[in-house]
Amino acid sequence: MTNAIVTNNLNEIVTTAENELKILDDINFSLTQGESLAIVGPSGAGKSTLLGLLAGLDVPSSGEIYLSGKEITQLDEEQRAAVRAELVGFVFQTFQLLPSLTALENVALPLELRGDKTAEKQAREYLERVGLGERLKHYPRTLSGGEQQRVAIARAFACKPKILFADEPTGNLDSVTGKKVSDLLFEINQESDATLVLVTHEQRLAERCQNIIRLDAGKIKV
Amino acid sequence: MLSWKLLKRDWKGGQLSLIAFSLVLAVAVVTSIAMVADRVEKALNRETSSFLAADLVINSSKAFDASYLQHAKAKNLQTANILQFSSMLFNGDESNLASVKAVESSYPLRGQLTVSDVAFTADESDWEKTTETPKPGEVWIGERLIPLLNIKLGDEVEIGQAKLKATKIVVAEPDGATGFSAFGARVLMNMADIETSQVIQPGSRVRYKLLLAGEEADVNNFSQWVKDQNSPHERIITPRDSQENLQSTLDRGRQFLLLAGSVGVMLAAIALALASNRYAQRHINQVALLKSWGQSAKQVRRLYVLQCALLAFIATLIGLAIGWVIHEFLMRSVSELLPQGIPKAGYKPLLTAFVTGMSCLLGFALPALWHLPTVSPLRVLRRDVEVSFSSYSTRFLIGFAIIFLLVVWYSESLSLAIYFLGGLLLVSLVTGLFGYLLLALGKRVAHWAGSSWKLALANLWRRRSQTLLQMVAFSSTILLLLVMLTVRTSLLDDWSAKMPADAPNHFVVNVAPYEVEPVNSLLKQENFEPQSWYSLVRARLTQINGVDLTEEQQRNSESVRREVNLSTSTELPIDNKVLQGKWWDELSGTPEQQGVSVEEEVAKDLGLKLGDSISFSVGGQVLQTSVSSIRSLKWENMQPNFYFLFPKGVLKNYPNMSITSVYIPRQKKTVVNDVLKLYPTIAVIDLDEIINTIKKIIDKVSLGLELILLLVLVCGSVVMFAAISSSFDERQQESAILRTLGSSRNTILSVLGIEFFLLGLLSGLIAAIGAEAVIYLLQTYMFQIPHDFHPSIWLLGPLGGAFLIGVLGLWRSREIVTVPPLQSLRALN
Ligand SMILES: Nc1ncnc2c1ncn2[C@@H]1O[C@H](COP(=O)(O)OP(=O)(O)OP(=O)(O)O)[C@@H](O)[C@H]1O
Ligand SMILES: [Mg+2]
Repeated sequence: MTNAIVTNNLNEIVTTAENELKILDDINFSLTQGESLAIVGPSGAGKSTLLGLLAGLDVPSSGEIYLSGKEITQLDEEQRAAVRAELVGFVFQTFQLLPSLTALENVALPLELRGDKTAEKQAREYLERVGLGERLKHYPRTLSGGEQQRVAIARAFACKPKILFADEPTGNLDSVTGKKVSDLLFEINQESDATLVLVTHEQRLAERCQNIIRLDAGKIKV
Repeated sequence: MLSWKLLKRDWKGGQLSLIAFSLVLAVAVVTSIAMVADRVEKALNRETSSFLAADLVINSSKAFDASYLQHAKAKNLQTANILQFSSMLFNGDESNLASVKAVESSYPLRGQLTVSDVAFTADESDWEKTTETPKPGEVWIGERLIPLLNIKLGDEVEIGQAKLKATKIVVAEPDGATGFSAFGARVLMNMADIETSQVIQPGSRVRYKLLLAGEEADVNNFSQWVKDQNSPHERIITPRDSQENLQSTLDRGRQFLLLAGSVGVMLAAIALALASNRYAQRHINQVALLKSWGQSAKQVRRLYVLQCALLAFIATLIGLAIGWVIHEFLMRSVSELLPQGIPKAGYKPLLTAFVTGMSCLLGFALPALWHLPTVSPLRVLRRDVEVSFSSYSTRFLIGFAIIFLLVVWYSESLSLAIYFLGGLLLVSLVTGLFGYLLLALGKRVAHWAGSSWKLALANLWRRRSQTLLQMVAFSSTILLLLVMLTVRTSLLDDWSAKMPADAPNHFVVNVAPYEVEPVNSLLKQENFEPQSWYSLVRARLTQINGVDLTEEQQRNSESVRREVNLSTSTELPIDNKVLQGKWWDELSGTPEQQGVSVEEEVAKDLGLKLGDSISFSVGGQVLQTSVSSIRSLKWENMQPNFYFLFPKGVLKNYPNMSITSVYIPRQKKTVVNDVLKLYPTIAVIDLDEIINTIKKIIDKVSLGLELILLLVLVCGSVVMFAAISSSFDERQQESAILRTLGSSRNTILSVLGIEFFLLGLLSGLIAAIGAEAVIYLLQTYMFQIPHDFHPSIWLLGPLGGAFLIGVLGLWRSREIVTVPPLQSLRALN
């Protein structure tokens, strides 16, 4: 079985006005396709930075990242965009729904961008799957936080990504709602056999993953 | 199509309305103005065509070659041939020399004849307008001939060998008595009777005229063709030539329209830029999201550009439709005044509208959106990721360049565009500086003010770059509106000042020297006030500085092609201004005192300078003189105006006639007939109809200007709205936080109100200062009318600004206090 993610001596250094900051220090790990990984650690440890690099949203200062066997750090932005389109899906702490679109339109949009003719039909199915079949025409501002995150999950899975990245998907939710949303996340993940990488502060959520990486000050702590 | 779908969704979400509205407005303003200007100009040309009885007249001393008619036919032009000659007319024992006009039945091609069965009637119900002409065997008699030949309708009149029955009295011909040369005894006969009359013999002096009418392009085409024939006997006359005085007023009106149009477009464009900027800001997250899903920058750009193009296309169409409706409404209101009908608008206004819409998009919307696709996808994870939009100065330069090109294109004048935009640039710079000072001052003063005032001023100061931007937008808008409002009224004042109610409406001409005294006292006896009398000598200009006139000089100047009127005056006539040299009173004792004062346009056409010697031929005698001054005059003032003026006495040895102008009220017109019966050789030219038409046109044009001003006002309000919207998000967030911290709605409302009120007040104050300056420049340099101070501006500017911005601002911000703070915080997340 191929590895979904492999990193090789990953470093991220930013230079600020005063000094150089090493945000990620020699990150090495690999993750098999279909497995799940939780990245945990204190605030400012570099969790979001690592997630962004893994998802190809940014390039590291040094090191290599392989997504489904393909090295992505040497690619230019256009090529990385193509990789993202092929492999990657996202769920965010702040949901990131477009306020001017209805729930249905929000879910359908990435499919439409790919030119999928059945975008709306699939979007409807996924919204029903996350239990929002009755709220298709609702705008994000009229939905509760948990509902908004369910729309975001439907949107992420509708594109059938091989790897799903989630940055604190329950961070903005109360613990009961958070539990429901994370149940959903794992459920659909298992159905679709996607690799799941999530950043979280919550011990309980992290423990549901097959792998855990602890980051502290940019280093992996075992 | 995906772009279309996205466009529809954005529209539903309300993010596009301001952008679309600005675009629609810009296009509507230009469309309506371009169409109105185009059609009114064409209509007025046609109207003045009726003074010529045609769109084009070719005047020749020889019969026209058959190719002329063939060519005219090929161009689909209507034609009418006219012969004009002098001949003795006999009615029984009475005889008199008359100017005869033989016409084809197609005459007149434009306008109508006014005929009557009663001579010298002032009662218009006796008049009949017609496009008929005398049938073969008939003759229509000019009013002046009735007493001279003692004719009654039905009499047989002899012209050469032809005996023709007098069937109508001609009161006015469309191509008749509007100039000094066209008076005297006239008759109208049918061309078919020329043969039997045998009046035209080899060597007889005959004027041949070919009248033409048709589509503008065909007429121009034909005119060019005639020019290419290069025949020395021919002269081309267009309606423009025949109505120079009306033209200058119309040109000014067109300039005003143009200015108003440019202002409207510019305001709409600014609103567009502001709205697009806000749109771009709100779309940053969306773009980041699209890119995290794997859309490349190129794809995102294509998506947005396509959306923009679609939007521009639709907005242009809607703008065109609205502009068309407005123009149609305006045209309806003037149509009754233009009895010749209003020609259709050409395609140029459509092109103008389309180019305007697209340019606005290119110059104002796209620059704001251009760098949107470069937003880093990383922004989905990190809020602090910077977005590198094109700088405001780049955007400003692009927008400025586009507006500049547009104004040059509209006005076809580089200098006008430079003045207009240079002025505006200066105004915004000064505004920015001044606004900064006022704000700084306000912050200091705020120490003593109440807490709401303190807070409001602190807010304005904290957001000072945004505040200044808004101030520049507000004050230039208010400034432009103030200028439009004032210039419009001063334009109208200017027009009506030129046309006072008791402006002379009759010219009394052809008065022999010995008749001047008795005619003058006869008029005074009836309580009319004749203006100054001018003695008038008809002469032909022959030499300049001892050299015969060149062909080019003859071509250039209408005045030397035919005879000109020389006159004398001791005083500088009303509305005349000496531009070079001196008037007689400052020249006494010098040789120049025996010189001539020349009108500036003629001097320019002929290349005359001070001191040049010129020779006239006056009835065979030579009159030599030199140019001692150059003078401007106002053709619109309905006074006798002369190209060449001499000091009193210089012309007394030449045959001369006198002329004056006088105001005769409508109900006393019959007095004219008494004068004419007593002095049958005198002619009286009635200007009432011309004056009335001009007055009505000016009235209606001013109505049109008001409507256009209203449109510009709407543009201005949209700019203000857009500017207020641009700080909306920030204000909303602040207010929400303040409210969660326990501020009452009233506190927030009053702080907001004071902020907008102050913004409006300061902007209005700056606008008033600027407006006064701009008006001064406009009045002095463009319209050339004396400058006056405008107290109303100083009141209207600050108060109007404070009110308008206050109301608009509070209305736009009403959500800030009505929506619960939690909800607005969540919406902003
Ligand atoms: N471009 C950058 N410039 C400067 N500092 C940066 C940059 N990117 C990240 N950092 C810093 O690196 C550190 C790690 O940031 P990151 O967002 O990855 O933390 P995190 O572990 O996700 O924390 P949290 O749990 O609070 O979300 C932080 O201190 C952040 O300020
Ligand atoms: Mg983070």
